[in-house]
Amino acid sequence: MAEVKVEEIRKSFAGGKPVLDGVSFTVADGEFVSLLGPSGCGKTTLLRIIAGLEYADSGRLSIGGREVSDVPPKDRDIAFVFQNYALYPHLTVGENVAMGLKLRGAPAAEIARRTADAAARLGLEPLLERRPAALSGGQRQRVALARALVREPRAFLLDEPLSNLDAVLRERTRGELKLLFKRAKGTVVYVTHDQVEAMTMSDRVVLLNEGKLQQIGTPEEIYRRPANVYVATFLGAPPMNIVPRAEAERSGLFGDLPPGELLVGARPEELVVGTGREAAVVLVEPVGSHTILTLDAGGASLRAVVPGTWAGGPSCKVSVPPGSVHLFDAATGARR
Amino acid sequence: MRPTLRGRALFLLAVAAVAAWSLAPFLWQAITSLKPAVEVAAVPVRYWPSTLDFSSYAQMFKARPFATYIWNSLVVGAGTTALTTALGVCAAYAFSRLGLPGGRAALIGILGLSLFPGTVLIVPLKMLAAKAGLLNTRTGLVIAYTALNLPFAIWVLKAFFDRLPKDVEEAAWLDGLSRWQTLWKIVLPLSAPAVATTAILVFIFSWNEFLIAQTLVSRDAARTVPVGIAMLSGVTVYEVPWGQIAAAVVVTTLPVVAIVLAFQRRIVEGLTAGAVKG
Repeated sequence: MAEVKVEEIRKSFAGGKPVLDGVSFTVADGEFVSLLGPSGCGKTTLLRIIAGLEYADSGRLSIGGREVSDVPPKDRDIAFVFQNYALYPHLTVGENVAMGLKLRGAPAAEIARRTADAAARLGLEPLLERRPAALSGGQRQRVALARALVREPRAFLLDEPLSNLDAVLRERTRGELKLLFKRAKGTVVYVTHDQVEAMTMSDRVVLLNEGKLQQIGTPEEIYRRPANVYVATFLGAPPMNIVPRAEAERSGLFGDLPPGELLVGARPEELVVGTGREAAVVLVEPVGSHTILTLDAGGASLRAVVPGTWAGGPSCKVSVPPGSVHLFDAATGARR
Repeated sequence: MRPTLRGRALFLLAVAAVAAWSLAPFLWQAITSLKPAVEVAAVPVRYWPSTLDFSSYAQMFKARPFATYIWNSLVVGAGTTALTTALGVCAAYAFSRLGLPGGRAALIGILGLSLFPGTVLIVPLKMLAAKAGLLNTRTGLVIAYTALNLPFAIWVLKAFFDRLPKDVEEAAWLDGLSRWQTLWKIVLPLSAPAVATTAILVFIFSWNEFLIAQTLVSRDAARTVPVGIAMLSGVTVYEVPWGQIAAAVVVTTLPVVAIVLAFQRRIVEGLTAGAVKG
């Protein structure tokens, strides 16, 4: 396994807006890093550049300390799991898994041993003679993973591997994947638009928007200390409340604010309902385990999360603990 | 919906009608080839021969070296099919995947070239073949046929390659295959139906082609079947040896039917093995 280092990568397609605008980060050896962002933020393009399926307009890329910007994909020694798995339809599961080893001239006995090992780790033994067309979506996904694992590459690149699974299977596979790569001690770059996947699986998250890096950090860091308004509102369900300074002051919930044009934020789950100032309950959204309230506090519209079902009336008391207030610059959106 | 008995009967009836319509001319030829000479052009028409008479077959092989013609047709057909398919696959893959500058213009140009009527090409083709020393050779025919069939092959194959999922090929590169290996080990197996279809149609074209074969070849050593059939003549110019012609048609059609059926099974295999969707 090896470190993956991305430096100042820029890329635009056919004269359009840049897809990637000077992105840099390093994935340490054995680290699981997610590239998170909305569709079109450039995360898949970045992954394809790391794989060598696209070439950056400028910037440097190294894997295991070796510059690979101009190295063709097959010589980068990385494994890629495609969103729709991209299995070879005319080959059996066993042949699909063994292809990479065969082409690298591994001895037959070793190919057999490693294929069997990967198949065992993913529960594919009974399927080895089948063709992909005879497999379910979840099984195909596991074949794609086995094809990557068997290679023992220097890094694993995964492009939304769970997005084609149904919700129940996705939930279960998420945990399995994390364990699988932890055991393989793999360096993993994992592209997803799903914040839950990114938060639960990653050692660190790289958050991208419109080709620009927004923040890098552990899931805890980017949740606790979002670097800007975009990150603050991208993570969390419901997202962080953001109100302009004037509204924040009118509501009287946020205490004394430092001078300057500000946006003031607080996470819905950190609002305390039951003590504090009076607010009107505008909307009640029960989710089951908790309920999302939309409140009007002196003209400021805020969402709050309360446990269980909401038994209160059309108004309630609400307060914001001082440690839960986030301040952002109104002009740049950057954290203050 | 489950097909009703009546629906099924109607369907079979329709299939039988279409089959009869298509096969009738060939059936007539087959019957004619088995008639004694006097019954071939008898008035009123005799639909069934009074006895089965195979003498037309013997006479046809005596009148002209049909064994040679059939061999020539097979060699030219196989050569044309192999060359056209090989070049067509490479060109179509390049057009489909390599993003060649001016690729679209080139494709349109290729299509434009294929619109020239064959008769326009005859004279220049003959002159070229004469210059190149390819008159009266099977090689000359193979080259001419390949040139004529390539536009068709490239367009059909490119349309098919365009529909193949790109990421299977990308997965192959990452597994360590070169472009050529990807084409050979991944793209071609997945394209077997399209390649086989193209090959069959090219072979049929080559097998039936008359005009160019007649123009470029004037010796029996390289002559192909369609021209050979046209060379059959009676004792006098006023006599057309219909029996022999019918026998020649039967003898020369059967191999092509056999080859097409063999290939057709490959197509079906290819379709089930491919199963790209999912």
